Amino acid sequence: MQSPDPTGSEASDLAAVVALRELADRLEDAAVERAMRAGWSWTQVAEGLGVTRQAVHKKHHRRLEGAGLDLRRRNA
Amino acid sequence: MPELLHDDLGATLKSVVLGAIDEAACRGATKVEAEHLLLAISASDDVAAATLAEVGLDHAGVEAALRVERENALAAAGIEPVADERLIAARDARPGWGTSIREALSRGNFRVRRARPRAERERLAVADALVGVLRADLGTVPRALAYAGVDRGALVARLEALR
Repeated sequence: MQSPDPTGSEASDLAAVVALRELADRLEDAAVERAMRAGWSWTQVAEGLGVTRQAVHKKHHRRLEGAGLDLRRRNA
Repeated sequence: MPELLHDDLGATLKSVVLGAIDEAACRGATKVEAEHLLLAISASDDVAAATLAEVGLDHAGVEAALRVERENALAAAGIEPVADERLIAARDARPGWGTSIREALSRGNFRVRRARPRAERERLAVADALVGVLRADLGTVPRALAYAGVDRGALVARLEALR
């Protein structure tokens, strides 16, 4: 099969998945940061995202700590 | 992360690959992809950047092409672009390697020049990597270039003809 048109309808459907994943990742980064800056706990953020506290901590702790957020006493 | 940054790349290409990490990080990307390598190449002062600029793909041109690609991709799912101010977040300075940059670097033109003098290989290493980026037929980069009206085949031919 010759290579399909990269902007054809099938390719665009697949590209939409890529773009949505990227958008979801960036929205998550921004939303988690906004909640943590507003004083939310890891548990609350995890509940809001429907994931475990461990998962959200593992994914965002280093980034937010690097941004200078005071993450002590957020263990609830 | 470091395994793509081996010394065989030569100093110039290595610094461009490091630039690709910065391009990914400052865009909040979780992975360094081929489009970030394209951005870093376009921002370099390499002959490859000059070749890109000749078809309108200076750094701003590549950014614009990628933006159009993302808008079109989201539109295919009925999604409007989200305002940048809603996406402001602290960046992870250590994004991982994506599949497309691995593929690009493995598809580069390096092997063709294996028998050539080291100086020539080093001088054209970034151009050879760019050939690898441009050889992808599907995905973000070929879509962006198609929307920008750039003839990828002609661009590859010009890069391969560099001596």
